[in-house]
Amino acid sequence: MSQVQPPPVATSGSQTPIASNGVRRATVRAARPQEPAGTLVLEAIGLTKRFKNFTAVDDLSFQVRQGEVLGFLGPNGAGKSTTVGMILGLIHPDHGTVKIMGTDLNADSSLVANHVGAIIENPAFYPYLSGRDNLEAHALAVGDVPAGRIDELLKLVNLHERSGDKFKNYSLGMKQRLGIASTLLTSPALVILDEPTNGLDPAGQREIRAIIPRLAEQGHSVLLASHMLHEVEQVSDRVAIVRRGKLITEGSVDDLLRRGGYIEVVVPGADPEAALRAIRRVPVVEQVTVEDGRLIVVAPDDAGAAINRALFEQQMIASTITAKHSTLEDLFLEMTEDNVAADGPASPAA
Amino acid sequence: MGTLLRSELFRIRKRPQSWLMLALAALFVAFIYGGMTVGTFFASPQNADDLRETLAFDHLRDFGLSFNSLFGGIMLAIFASGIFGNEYSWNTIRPLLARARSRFALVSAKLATTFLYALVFTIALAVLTIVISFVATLVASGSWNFSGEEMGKNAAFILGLFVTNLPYLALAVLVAMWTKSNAAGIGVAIGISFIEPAIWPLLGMALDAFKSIEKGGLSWNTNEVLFHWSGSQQNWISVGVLLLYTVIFVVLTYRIFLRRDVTSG
Repeated sequence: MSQVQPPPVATSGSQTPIASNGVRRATVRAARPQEPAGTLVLEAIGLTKRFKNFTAVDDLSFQVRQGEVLGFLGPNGAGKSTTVGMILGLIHPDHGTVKIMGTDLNADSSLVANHVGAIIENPAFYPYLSGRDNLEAHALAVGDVPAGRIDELLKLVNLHERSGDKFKNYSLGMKQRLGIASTLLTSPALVILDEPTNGLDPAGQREIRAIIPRLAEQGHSVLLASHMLHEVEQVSDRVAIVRRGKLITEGSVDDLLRRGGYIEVVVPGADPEAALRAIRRVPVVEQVTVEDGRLIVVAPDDAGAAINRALFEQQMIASTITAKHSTLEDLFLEMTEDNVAADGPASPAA
Repeated sequence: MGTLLRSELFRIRKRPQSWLMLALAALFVAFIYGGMTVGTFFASPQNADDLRETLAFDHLRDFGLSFNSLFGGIMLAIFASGIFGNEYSWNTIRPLLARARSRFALVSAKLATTFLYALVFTIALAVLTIVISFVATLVASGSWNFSGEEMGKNAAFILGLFVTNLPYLALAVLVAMWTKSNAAGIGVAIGISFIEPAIWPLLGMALDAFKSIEKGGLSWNTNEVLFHWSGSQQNWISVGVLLLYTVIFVVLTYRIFLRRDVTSG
């Protein structure tokens, strides 16, 4: 006897967040040329920093590889800015090492000037100089900036027509764009952006978000420290989450989002307990609960067909089987707020 | 350090304040010479003769160039303090440090810029003062008695102006960097240059020992170099004392900045 196939049900795919320009993040990342895996641009190894009786960063280690975007997340006072400061040589770590392009920063203090471009909080320039002159001053300071590079970057960030205006007369969006241009003067291997969309309107935020994947496509690695979780989720390949100076989780965005995912099953007219028992028999199902008449199933995304078949074998028909993912915000809050509740109020920010 | 120095000098050239301070100092000198010149037409004959003598080239060191010491010193203290102080107030110290090859190179570039600007400023203001004196003398008395020997002495005085300013500039840089405050650097440098000469005589009246201690201070040695120069051993000791203060302030600047965690600015 031929096996009766269960009727197809409407299923929704994974609700992957949409990138700022309407393109799904996976497509944005897939468009980049494949860089050799394993080329480390930045290594933070056991970084520790104490200010008086407060530990701002505690044995923190992470890596950034060539061509990837690492989102660096944490609540206020988590130690993000202190970590960025140690990477840039602004703050002396009490313990630990920073390596850029495989070389210890202590052995060669010019590594940051040669290989890193950074915006630290709000971009700061000399108010009495024009945008162009600010870049010229920056270029003179670092040396070896090719002729024409400044014009090229001003066009890239759409500031060419206003390049002669004094920096003090720029809008916040223009200042941010000039900041981006300054980070790229030396075509650095690593670009560090600390809250790059701070204070920008939605259009400005979208502009900056559009630039970040392009940087990675061009071979720059990006360390993006931000509170804007949805924007980190959209543009980052991997995410490192810190709290109270410690790394609490790190991984690819997709892997992290899958951790909090589940499958929602609606079986109209069926006994929820019977449906629950049927689904529990599927080997890959980890957990099933009933919530407001829906079955919440913790299982891999591709378990939908097996769940559908298990229900059909018990003469139940699901109307919808939907795989749902957490957002990065859900994950972030879960990892940071739970710990705050357990440990008490946060220490003052470093 | 070369790249950083080029960047510093580029920004100094482009900043209107750099030229405005020179212009203001020259304007003060011109105002005083102008007032004295006008006075020669309205004063009694005896007083007019005295005024003309004061305006003359052979009194340049006692009059015009001495004002350079006052006005120029204030302007240079403002400049020196701003070399670090402004970076903190504009929040540009962190990006600047991030693109510097080393902290040592950055401090060196800042100090070199300060001393170079001071040298150019001192010479330029002195030249302007000489020109103002020439014009004032011509207007007041119809002639100008230039003397090569006097010019040589004036050149030595101008060099003395530069050397005697060095410790005050280094102090302004140190304090502004240490406190992250432009105002603090200006206040301390100018305050010490005005208050120190007043304090020692008072203390000396209370105890003779202070008269000896005064000879280790900045103001006594500045006076010795500027107004009692004869090439004597004491003169050269005074130069040494001033340079020693300069070196101490410079070393402290390096020491503090090289070790500091730059978390703001």
